[in-house]
Amino acid sequence: MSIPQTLKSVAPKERGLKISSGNSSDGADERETALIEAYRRARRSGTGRAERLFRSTDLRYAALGIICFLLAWHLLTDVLTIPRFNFLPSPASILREWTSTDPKYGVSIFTPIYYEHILISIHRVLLSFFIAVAAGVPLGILLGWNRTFYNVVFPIVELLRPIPPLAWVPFAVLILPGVESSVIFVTMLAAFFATVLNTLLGVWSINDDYFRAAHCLGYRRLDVLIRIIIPGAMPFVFTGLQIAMGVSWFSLVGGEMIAGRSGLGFLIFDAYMQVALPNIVIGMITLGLLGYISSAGIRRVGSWLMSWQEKGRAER
Amino acid sequence: MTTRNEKAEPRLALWRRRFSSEPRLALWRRRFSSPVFWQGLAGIVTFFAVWQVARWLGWMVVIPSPLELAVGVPEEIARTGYWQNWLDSSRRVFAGFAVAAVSGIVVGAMMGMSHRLRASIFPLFEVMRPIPPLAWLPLAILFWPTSELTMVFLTFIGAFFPILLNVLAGIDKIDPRYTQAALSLGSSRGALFRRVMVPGALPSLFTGLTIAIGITWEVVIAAEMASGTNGLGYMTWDSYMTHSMDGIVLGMLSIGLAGMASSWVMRLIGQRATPWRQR
Repeated sequence: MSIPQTLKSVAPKERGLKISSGNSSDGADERETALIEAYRRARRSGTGRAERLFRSTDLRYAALGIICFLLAWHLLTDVLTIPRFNFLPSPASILREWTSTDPKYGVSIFTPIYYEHILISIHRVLLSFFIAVAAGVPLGILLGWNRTFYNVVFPIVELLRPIPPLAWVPFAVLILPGVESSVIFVTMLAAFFATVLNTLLGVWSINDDYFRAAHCLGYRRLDVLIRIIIPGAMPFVFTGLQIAMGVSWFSLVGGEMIAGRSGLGFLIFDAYMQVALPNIVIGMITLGLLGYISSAGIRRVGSWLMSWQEKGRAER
Repeated sequence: MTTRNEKAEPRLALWRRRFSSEPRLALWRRRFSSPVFWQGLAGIVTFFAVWQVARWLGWMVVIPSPLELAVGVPEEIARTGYWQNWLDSSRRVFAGFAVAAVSGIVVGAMMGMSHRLRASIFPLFEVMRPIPPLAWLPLAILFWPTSELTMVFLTFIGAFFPILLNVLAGIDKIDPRYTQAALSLGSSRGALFRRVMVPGALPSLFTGLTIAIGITWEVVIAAEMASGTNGLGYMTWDSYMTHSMDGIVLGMLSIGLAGMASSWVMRLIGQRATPWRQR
């Protein structure tokens, strides 16, 4: 039986205890067990979850913070019109533009061009993300698996890695045919290095006892790879994928701004060129939403795939 | 002998030891006598050799070969204004980073101490965080009176969120038993902050600072490409405009080196500041 499966049978109990008793290690008494039960019941029922959310004071504080921010923005741009702040678009004008059926600057939720830009950006990010993962995860696993391969290849990776993706833009535009491929190349680069490095660290993070046990049990090399290395590296790989998704959006915007003819980065920069101020913020908010959705999606997939693992890691 | 030692150690620890302060001479002697060094060298030499041969065979028309670069790049360095570009970019990075570090630490510490403040500000930051720093560029150009301030602001945006998040993560990671112990021993709020919060959050803070300084270099390069008139990013862009491949490669190398050097310095400071954290 492989190791993850054994872990799977142990994990839920531990997690249940952890949630309720925090860090005190003196075990659960009766009241605590009741609490755990109540908590689990509340978690299972959807209405309970929504109710808890609406009742929580945290949500009220969050709403307070965001409302204060919007109010301050509105006051600074529309009411007081302080010098320099009056150059910024006001929240009301953005909302009006964003939801109008006949937008002044041509972009709103009712115009097809808006969705075209979104689709183009998503397409680019997904394509480069998948290229980066398809190339980066195997390379990272090979690097972690084979010592000699690591010694020979890793210095080259380290040589190229410190160069920020956007510094590649001019280079990519010159050597690659067309704008599309250079934007995708630049977007892919950062994601690629993040994936390789985290996969490598993931392989290294595997407890050596597993390898020793596998050797004792007479695993072949391929079995070691499939049964130990791949599941063992998974948590770090998903940390890497999350970072990779973040940096892909980052470099995509840069690439589209500097070299692109379409996409959200271009939409923002074009809006600036044509002084279509609300469009800048519409583009920013859309980018933020897409970035958030994509990394939340990866986190979901990651925690679903690794339900045998206690807790995910996250940095950045 | 060295290889045997390496095998016995967990490999993650080995990775971390690369940044330890072993005596330099011994380190270099160990490096030269180990096959690891020679294998690495072989890898890099092969990389450049393949590149060179590909050029000779005529596969790469645009990219100059390593030998051509070895001639062309020093010429570019000797040009007037090269070192000035370094200064300009570093100044922007430093200014943005310093502001981000100070505000990130202050806001992070305040949010760590007060739950109410955290609950009201953090969601707002969570909303703004996924917006890529470069997307702020047009608004920043509109708002700030000079392009210099625009670029500093962008580096600030890039550095602020990782620093803040890591300060918060550091405070969250502190074992509540320490806080409880301090409180039951009668420590004041100030002492709790100085003796528990600060040393507890420092390692994570330095992780954040190291990530952030890398991001500031990425952002400043893009900002200079889009709106600057000097600096390393502008230099690279200018070389692209004049189709000088040597200049582009030099720009990429300089930027990579600058980012690497500042991360290295940051890590060194981090090690000195948290001496209790071995490995």
